[in-house]
Amino acid sequence: MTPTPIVRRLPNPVVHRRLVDDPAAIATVRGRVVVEGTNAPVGSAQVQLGARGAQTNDAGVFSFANVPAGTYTLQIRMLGFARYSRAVTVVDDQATDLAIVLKRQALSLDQIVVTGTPGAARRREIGNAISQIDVTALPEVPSSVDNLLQGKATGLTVTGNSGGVGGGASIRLRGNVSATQSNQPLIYVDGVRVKSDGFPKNTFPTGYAGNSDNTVYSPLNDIDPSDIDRVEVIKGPAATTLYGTEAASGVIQIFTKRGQTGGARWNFQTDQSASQTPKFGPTQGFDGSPLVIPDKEVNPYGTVDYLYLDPWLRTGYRHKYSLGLDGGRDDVKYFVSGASSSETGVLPLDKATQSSVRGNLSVTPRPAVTLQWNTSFSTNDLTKTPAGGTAAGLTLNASRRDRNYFGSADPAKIGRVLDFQLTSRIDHLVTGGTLQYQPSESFSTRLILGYDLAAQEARNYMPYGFATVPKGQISDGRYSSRTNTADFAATWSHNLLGELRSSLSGGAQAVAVDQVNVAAGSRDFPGPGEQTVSNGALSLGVEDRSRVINGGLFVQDLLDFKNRYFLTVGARFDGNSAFGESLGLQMYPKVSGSYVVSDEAFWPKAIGTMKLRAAYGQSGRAPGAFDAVRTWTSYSWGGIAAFVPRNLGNSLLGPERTAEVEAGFESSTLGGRLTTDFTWYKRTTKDALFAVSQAPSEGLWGSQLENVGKLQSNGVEIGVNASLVQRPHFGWDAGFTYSTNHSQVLSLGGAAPFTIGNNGWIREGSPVPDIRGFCVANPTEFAAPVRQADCDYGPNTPTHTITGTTSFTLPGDFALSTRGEYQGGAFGYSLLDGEAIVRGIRWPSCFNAYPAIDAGNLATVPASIRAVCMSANANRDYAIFPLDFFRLRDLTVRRAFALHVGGASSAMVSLSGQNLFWWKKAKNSMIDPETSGGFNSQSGMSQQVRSVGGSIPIPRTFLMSVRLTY
Amino acid sequence: MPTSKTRRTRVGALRHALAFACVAGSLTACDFKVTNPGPTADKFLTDTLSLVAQVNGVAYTLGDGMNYQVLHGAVAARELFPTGQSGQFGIEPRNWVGYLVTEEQSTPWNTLGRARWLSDQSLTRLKAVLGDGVFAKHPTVAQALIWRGFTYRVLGEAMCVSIVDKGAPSPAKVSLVRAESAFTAAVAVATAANNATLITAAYAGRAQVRVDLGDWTGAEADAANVPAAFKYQMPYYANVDEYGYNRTMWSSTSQSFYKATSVWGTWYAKYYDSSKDPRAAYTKTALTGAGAFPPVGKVPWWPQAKYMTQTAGINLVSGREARLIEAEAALRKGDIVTAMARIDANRASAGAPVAARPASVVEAWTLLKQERGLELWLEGRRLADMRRWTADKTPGALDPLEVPGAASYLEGQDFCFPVSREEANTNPNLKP
Repeated sequence: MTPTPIVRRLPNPVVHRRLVDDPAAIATVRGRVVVEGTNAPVGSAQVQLGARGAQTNDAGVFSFANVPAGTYTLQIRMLGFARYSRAVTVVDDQATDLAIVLKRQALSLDQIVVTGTPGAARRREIGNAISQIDVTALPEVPSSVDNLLQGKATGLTVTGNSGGVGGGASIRLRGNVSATQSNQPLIYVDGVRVKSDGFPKNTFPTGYAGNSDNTVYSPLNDIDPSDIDRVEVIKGPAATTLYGTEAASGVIQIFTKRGQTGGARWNFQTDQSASQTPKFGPTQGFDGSPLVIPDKEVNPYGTVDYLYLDPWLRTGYRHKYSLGLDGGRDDVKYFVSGASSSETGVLPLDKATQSSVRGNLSVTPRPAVTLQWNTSFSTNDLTKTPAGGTAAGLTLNASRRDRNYFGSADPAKIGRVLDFQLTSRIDHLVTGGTLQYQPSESFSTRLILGYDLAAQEARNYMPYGFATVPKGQISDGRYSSRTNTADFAATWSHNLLGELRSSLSGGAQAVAVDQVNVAAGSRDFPGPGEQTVSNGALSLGVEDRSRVINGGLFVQDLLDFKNRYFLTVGARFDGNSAFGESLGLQMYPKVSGSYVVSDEAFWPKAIGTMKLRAAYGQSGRAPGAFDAVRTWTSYSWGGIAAFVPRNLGNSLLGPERTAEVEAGFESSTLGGRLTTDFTWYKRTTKDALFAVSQAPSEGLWGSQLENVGKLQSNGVEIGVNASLVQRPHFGWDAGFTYSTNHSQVLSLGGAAPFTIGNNGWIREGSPVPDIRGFCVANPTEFAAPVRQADCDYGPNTPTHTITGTTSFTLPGDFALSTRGEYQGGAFGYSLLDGEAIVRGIRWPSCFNAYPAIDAGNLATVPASIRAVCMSANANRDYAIFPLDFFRLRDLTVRRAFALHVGGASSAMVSLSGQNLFWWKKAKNSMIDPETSGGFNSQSGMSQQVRSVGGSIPIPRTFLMSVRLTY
Repeated sequence: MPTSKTRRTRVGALRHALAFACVAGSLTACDFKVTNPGPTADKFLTDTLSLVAQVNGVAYTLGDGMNYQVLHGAVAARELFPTGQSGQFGIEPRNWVGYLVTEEQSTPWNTLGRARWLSDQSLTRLKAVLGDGVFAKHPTVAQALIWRGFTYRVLGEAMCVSIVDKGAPSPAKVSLVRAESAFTAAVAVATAANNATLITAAYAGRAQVRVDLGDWTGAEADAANVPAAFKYQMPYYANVDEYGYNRTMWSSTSQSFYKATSVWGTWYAKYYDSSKDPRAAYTKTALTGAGAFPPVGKVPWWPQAKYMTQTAGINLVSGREARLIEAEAALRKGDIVTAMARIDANRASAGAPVAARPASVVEAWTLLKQERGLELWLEGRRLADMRRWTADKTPGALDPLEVPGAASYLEGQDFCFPVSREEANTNPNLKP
């Protein structure tokens, strides 16, 4: 039962007089919006009083000044709550003070979503799963977009990758969909396609790619989380068909804030945080027993707990300030913002400074026409510590102590690697306009034009006298990615027959991506001093350019019968410049249905709301720009050109095609206090692009992409939210999500099993990819180890992910929330462990075994330990570990205040701890299973197969945030 | 019957639909054909101007493959001692103790296999583009045949089997036969092209191959055409990319950071200490290598001094090797005097002290084996010599520091490189 809102005359009414000559505009309407049951304030709710608009501040308060007398309809909307509507009568010279209670409605079937649909659609009409993240309602203070997405939707896995500053996260929706192509979902910002894959690694343009910091910067993190209003996530081809060839890995659409009708509203926010590295060394030996450190293994400079990095680790600080302004009239609304942050990381050289500005403008020149233009620009300067898997790496040398490249554990010697300078500057411009034209209620069109420019300058500098390159070395790489988006859609809605309605849509999209990577490098400087590429005695230049165009048409019809039966059928026709010349357009069909069974007369209302849904759709993934053509590379061989094979070519090359079927339900029971979202999905990728290995005796063309494979994955996604206690000034909410993903290679199409790096194999009957390698055939025998090839360790992506959240509303308007995440089932290679055990490094996980080994008393040492702790027997593959981990992602206490100080109307103060606690299954390794890195150009978020590099773990962070609204 | 309002609606809808079609059509009237610059399309390789670059590609790839084969073979033969550094510019653990196993040694097979394929392809394309008449006397063809000969010679000596174009494995001697044929053709074309260097290189290469094939008469005859001072090398270049450097030098000198190998623990160090023979020169340092070799611990780092720069070439053939071929041919006939004359000449040429006179044929063989070791040190030849001497059951023992045992820390000793995992996975003739 909805409580009756209270409209009362103030005992001592405050009379608000307008200072202009408008005798009718003399009253004020204000109110406070709270949650039913707990009376907790509801911030950022949209409030509409007649034609006027406003938003509640963090204290849940809204206000309309200068309201003429009369009767108005007051409407309040907020994601997760039932829409509120009532009449309000405004009397001259009096203030109307409203106390409004919003009722929770976690499942709102009339909520509008736009991602994956030609125009806007109501949730009840959509047959596929879709997740919405209302950023304004989050209890946490996200530090980046990666952080914002983490653990917020079923089937969405965000893996942090690095404890250093600037590292981008890997995002997977329902695991991997491709064995060879990027599995990062497409990202749209306000309808404009933006770069979603990582920037190139900052490394020398040729040769060994490990001379870096092992991280890759994500363009997503150029977006200020404070600017984001909401995020929509669609997870697979059943939902992404209309995005065509490149959407098989899912689509994430970010919507930034827009201006609200009403006076100017200022928001100021500052976030101050401190980060520290948690202990991450092994606590067990390889034998599984608690680690005991013998006296002879004690290092005076550092401890096992911190991988002997103790002398260099520090507390990192981040200071961020952001300012936003929004407001407008009915026909013009604006939102502008700016943010600046500076950060020092836990590693000695890590530093980042970022600045961003945004302007969003909405204009309605005629009732049928709306133009929206959004522009953002950010610039980011990064300085990184050389912490990669390299002879010049801090992590690597510190962990190997006296058996490192310096032959010494002395920090003064190892610290010479800090002369290695890794700096990047990243500029990112996203601009785009949306024109909506709705000449009649039945016909609407939408045109989006967008431009995304992501540019990086990466400078990699080892000065003259540097430890590993005595005469010095430098490179400077300029990378840019330009994405042009054009998207047109039209929808015609009409009655077909009786209660049967049709919404016929069609449209076309074109996306062109131009990437340019130009780099110059040189080495052997004449002497000391600040050098440029020009100064090296030996120099080289590298230039790579590619242009990929994707364009297509779609048509779709949504049939609506009685507002509870919905059927959608559609198809997309796509062309792509990376296809082979013989291929032509590709067609991707879709069909979906939803049934709001709770709207049936027979449905007992006491049970609540229930929507059943099912969907089938296809989408694809295009090959790379050069994959279809047979080409050769030219190398310089003593100053003259030499041709060697580059790519075998395949004129029939096409997209891999992923078909997905999913079914599920969304329900809300117990008066909205328990909501459940369940989805089962199964997807099959045919014509999968496999890197078919070519025999070295036929020219070592490496591998050629061919459409030969067949992959499958399936899983379930369960999301449950419960409001356990709702009492005045005390509430307790809890929720959890459980997602599974099991993949399998159904067919190799006659191709041989092949590796895609980092021990990841594509092999019939195995996961995609499957971690394989050598293992010990006789681990428990007290004998020499017997090495067995091609052992199956398991999948590289998590097979099950669990998140848990709980939040409390406490007396005094305090709120406490926590969120934890567990990822399990994956395996990966640990570079740090693996490279040490094959080099005779005294490795902590072997400390328990060394006394017997050193004494030659092997009779007590089982084969498994002899294999890994005696390097002549060792193999890198023995450093494959389970990547299961749990992290307490967030613990936040916050309180909103109504303020009348310094012009501020409200304040929100939050205290957070992020990643305060963690657990890993591999207690005998150095790894943080959430980090990644590698020797090659694929690191961090760009890794096709995740291996754990020399990265330090994700730090724990203590954060205080204050937000003031004026 | 439709009303005027519904007719207007339909006309309006039609107008909107047409407008939609126009916009949609304009958006998708994209030309999907994109030619991206950069990599050279295959069709351009038939241009005459591209032929030299193709032949260079053979040499580039052969040099790349030899970089691995020479260094890894040197450790298995204990021409160098491992310090425990593996991975980048390092030596892998099974290699430390004498084994050349698939899991660690795919690169030599793959890269040298590519060089072989490229050499065959380049000659096919040269013939097609130049025509038979020009082909028979063109200097680029002579050069291509020289590279082909050395590619097959390296394959025949270093690999355990021979595989051509994903075919069935056959004995490594098949590669040697192809090498002999290539050198024979090279002699003819280089003669027609009047290129004296290539003629001599072809004779020298064929002499090596004939030794491997057991044709001592032919080997002696070819060796006689090679002057003592002649050398034909695989060049290396100081490009910015360190992978183009002489790998043996770069992995083991003070100019790099890897310190992966040492002359410590080898017969060559022992010999050099007593003789100062410049052919086995090394530098003694107080440093240790990166990593550790478990039975020893941290290995003293004594870098080799044969290759002192990144650009140091590796001999493919030399006049001094030709003399040793003549010496071995003589020894096989029991002619110690001739053999010692050749050895003495070589030593004098190299600035090495005169060798002690052997008291027996066995001692002469021992000396000859040492001389080949010294002359061909770090040139990727030692394992092949061990392989044929073992097969031929020749007299004369090798030093304990060169053969499996406690002194050398060798658990075993593979004389040849295996088929790579990539070949095993893709060649139907190798599948079980």
